Amino acid sequence: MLLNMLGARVRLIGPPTLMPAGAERWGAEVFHDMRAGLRDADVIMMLRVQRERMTGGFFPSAREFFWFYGLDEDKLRLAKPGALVMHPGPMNRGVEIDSSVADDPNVSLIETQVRMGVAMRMAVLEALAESGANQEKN
Amino acid sequence: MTRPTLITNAKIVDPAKSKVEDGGVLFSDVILDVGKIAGVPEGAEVVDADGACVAPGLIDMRVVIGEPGAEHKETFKSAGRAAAAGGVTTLVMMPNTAPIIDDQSLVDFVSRRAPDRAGGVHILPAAALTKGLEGQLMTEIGLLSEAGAVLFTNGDRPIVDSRVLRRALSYATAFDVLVAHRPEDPFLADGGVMHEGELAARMGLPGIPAAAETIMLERDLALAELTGGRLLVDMLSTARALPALRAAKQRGVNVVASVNVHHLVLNENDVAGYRTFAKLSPPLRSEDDRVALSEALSSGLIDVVVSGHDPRPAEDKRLPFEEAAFGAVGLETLLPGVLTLHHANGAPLTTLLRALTLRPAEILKLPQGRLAKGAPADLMIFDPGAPFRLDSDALKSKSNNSPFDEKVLQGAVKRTFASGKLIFSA
Repeated sequence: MLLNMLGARVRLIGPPTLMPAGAERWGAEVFHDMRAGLRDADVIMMLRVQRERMTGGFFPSAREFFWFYGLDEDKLRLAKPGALVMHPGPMNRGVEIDSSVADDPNVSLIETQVRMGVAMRMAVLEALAESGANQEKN
Repeated sequence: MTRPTLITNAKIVDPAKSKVEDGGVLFSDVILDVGKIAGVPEGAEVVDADGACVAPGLIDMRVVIGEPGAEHKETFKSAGRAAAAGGVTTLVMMPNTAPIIDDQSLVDFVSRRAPDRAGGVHILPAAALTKGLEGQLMTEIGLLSEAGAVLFTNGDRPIVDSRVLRRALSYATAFDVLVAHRPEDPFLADGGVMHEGELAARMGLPGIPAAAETIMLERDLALAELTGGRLLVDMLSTARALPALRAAKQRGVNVVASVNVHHLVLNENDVAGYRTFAKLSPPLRSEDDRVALSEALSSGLIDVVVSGHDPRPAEDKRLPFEEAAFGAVGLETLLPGVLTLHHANGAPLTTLLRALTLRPAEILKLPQGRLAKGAPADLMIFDPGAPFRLDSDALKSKSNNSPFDEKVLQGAVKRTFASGKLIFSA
């Protein structure tokens, strides 16, 4: 929703079982076919499959997930030439992303994103700690 | 290209039309022309139908074959022979083989082996909806569908866990696949061997209440509505289930329904005398149920008729009623069974044949099931009125557990063609 406010056109791609209910009303276009969804994309933001938080099977197997929803070079080719790949980490290589994409410095922003993520979290924590300290003083 | 064949002097039963018309069909491996055909193209073989009907080959959406794992019951070869003799040119094979068809390699096995063995009949694999048919983990629906599975089903083992079925139906929408589910509450049905009612009480047999079907059906329809999944209600048997189905269809739920041919022709009285060959699952119900089901078929509320072909050797059937296996063979009696509705109630041939040809083809997205130029030349010539007494020992299936044994039926298949080739001739 934030990305929408900033003027991006957002598509959500994934199996129907992992889609939040009513996702199509968030201003994002929903795709269950990754190849169709990737067409002409500028940036592909992968998310980690959080299997540890899943009760019951949302999809049948890692093999099938990778085949239909894992980002590999083949599927990446459908996006705009020069499209960038992001992922918040830690990655499940071979589940949602192929190493050949994750480790390609020409397309992958992942390491930078993770580094920035650490700095961002530190900044947030510091801001919270300072505001807490200020409140105690008053 | 196959040498062209011209069927002349026939009554054309086109399931896309409402009337039977006189004419002929010209075909090679695909249909070239239908209707009034002037002259015989050079080199064509002429088959004089002698006033009999010609229709698309039947599509049977529910057939159990014992290959692999139970070849003593039925093989691709024997199923192919039985199907051809019954006018069935395409059949969907259930996944309850040994091993269970729940993996790509097994779908591949069927797709590679069946065409060599089945004598021209198209055998299409259905895949298990859950691993090992255990009702716990969905199978690799996407990969199995790419491998050639035409539908997904848990066979005779309904999925009790609603969340599992919800997820499977929901996941299936990504691949637009058809999910078939038997509406039967296994707890209510447990131990039952026939329709619950006065007759069961008099026979001293445990019954299966109609509510076992309505309860599960209502749940399945609710889940189909919730997920948008494409649901095939597999083999309805009760009148009580029909209002729920009608209401769901009217609400726009993505649902189609089938009925087993035996439930259109027979009723609970056919098990009187403890006839285990009429022990079916779902059980044969009351006469009121049978009448309601045939009306629902005529109105189109029920979309397809299946044979529910379930070959069982004598040692599984010739047992005390409670111990005997459920199931009946049906490939060779599917057509005469359905035709009883034509002879007894005057149901139009085109309507009845539609539920055995065009509707299954539409539901399975197959090019078959049509008498149209360019459609695959899967055809049968049949005489709808020809009477015969069924001798189940003469059936071409490896098993002969037919509840129609010694009954007089009408409707004989004279010739069957698949992909333009003659695969059966009476």
